[in-house]
Amino acid sequence: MPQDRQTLVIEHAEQLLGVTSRRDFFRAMTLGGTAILLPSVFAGCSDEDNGTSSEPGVKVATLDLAGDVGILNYAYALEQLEAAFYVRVIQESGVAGFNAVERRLLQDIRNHEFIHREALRALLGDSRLPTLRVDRGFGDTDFRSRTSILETAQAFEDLGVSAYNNSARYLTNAANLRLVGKIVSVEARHSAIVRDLLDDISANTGRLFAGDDIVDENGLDSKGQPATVGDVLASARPYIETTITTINQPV
Amino acid sequence: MQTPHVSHSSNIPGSDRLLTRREAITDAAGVGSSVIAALALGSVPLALGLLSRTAAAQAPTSVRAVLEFAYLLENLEAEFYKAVLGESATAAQNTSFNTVRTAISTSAETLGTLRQIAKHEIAHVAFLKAAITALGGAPVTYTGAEFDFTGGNGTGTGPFAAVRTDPVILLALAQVLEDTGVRAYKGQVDTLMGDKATLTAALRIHSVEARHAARIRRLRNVTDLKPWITSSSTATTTGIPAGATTGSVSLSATATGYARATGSFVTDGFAVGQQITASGFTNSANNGSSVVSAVTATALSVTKNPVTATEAAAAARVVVTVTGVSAAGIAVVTRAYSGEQNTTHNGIDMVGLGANTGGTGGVSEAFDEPLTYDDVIFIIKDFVIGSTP
Repeated sequence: MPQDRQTLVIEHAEQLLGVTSRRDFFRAMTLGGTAILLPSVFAGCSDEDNGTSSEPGVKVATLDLAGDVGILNYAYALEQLEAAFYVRVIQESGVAGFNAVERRLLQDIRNHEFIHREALRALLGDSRLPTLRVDRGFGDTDFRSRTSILETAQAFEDLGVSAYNNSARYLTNAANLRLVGKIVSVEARHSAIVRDLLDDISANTGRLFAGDDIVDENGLDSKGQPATVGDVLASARPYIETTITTINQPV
Repeated sequence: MQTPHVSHSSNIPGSDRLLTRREAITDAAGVGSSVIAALALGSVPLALGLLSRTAAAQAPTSVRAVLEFAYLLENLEAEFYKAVLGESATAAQNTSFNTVRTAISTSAETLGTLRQIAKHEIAHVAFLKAAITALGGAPVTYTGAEFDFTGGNGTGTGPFAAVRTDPVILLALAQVLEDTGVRAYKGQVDTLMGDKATLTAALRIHSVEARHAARIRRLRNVTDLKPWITSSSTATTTGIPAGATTGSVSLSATATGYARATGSFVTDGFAVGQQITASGFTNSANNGSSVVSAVTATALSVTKNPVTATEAAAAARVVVTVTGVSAAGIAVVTRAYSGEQNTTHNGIDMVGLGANTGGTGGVSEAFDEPLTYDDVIFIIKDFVIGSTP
């Protein structure tokens, strides 16, 4: 029946990863439909491990934290996780009931995380960590639930801010330190907005963006967050399937 | 194959003192670690003089000088929010913000946000004061009386004069101050590299300022204004409304509005729909509020009650928009967002990277750029009374 045939336009490789679009893809194929893969799909697949392809990532990785390369690879690992998370968020954001303005914010955040990941990847060149295998469920995240998505997003953003804030001191090259400084404040903006989206009507309305749970009595960020590389990675472990072994942890 | 752009230089060689400082970082939190580390560091090579209310003429080159620079910024912010909330120790500052305070009093969201931010800025002042003291400095105690939040350097009629009456301008200035705070700290990280505990504390303040900026931007609810800094500093991307003023000039009044022989209402920035106020006329019917209905270079038509009456030209008359930021203020805003369009970091233009779905704008948003010391001084100088940079 011709009217049942579907044309599915695949603009980005990540669309093939999503359960919904993958189902649509096979349904379209089964019904004799057409899948159009736009050139942008391949633009993101120019390398063997760009992190957006369906390439599953490595099972085991060693993160050598020595020197600036080590700290930037640590950041690269976290940015890979964040980018992968927001890919899924955008795919599911309609289901989870985000409005148009919120979707726009989440898309911006996804774009930023992509760029952070790609920037670190380009900077690290051949010294970079391989593509990690993330847990597609992102822990217990319920992707039908706006609240659940935002709570995981908040956890990632707060963790990211803490990771940058607490590891920047190990950098020995000023240009690398400046780069980390440019990224961390954008992560803090993300955290503020994700928290803002979770804020509800209460006596504390309008405060959660920089709530007393994350800013301490001295007005310093990352209160109660894991500070050391090991603790940050331990917090991220439920979301990463790759077994990461760290060596040369800075102290 | 890509060339690594990352420095491979080794870690600073360990020493007993360095280890002691690192233990302090690990074991203590907050001001304790900074102060302990500062004490462990001993003397500071370049003990610059206080960054007093007369802004220092040179960019800071020592850890302490950076903190003194930050201390001035944090005092400006803290005193601003205290005045807005009616909590300044300087009664005149509280009074001057009465109108805008009343206007925001019905928004629990706005009040909650401003109170939370004020709490942090006050904490930053105390934190930096302790840290500067630990480094051998003697930080002055600023009061509200030392700031002019209209950006008028003590005149009280600066380009941001509407900050005291219009919530739109209040939050616009808050945004500029917060974004400037973020960018100012970022501009000083090189100097802090040698003192790891202080660097970490500064970064932890810096990211709180970024949270503030993002929240204020969202709270403003201006169409197309994002929580992140976009690539240009136009009125649309910063959401800062431009205002207009004739300044004190010779003006006449007509049956339809105001007229001038020299200068231009158009060039001054007047536009249809603006709410304006006039002063200096002898006939009281010609003073006070009205709304612009037409603009030419020499004539400003207004809708006014009571209507304007014919009055011969005389000097020292002013027509000014009730809200909006004048040209001098827009220059401050433009400087506050200068350089944000940069997309090249560590020698790589990030626009062309794979998986960049945000384009040039996305790359610009993804990185907050630093401001130089000179930029920051330009932005804040007329908010600090008596500053002569």
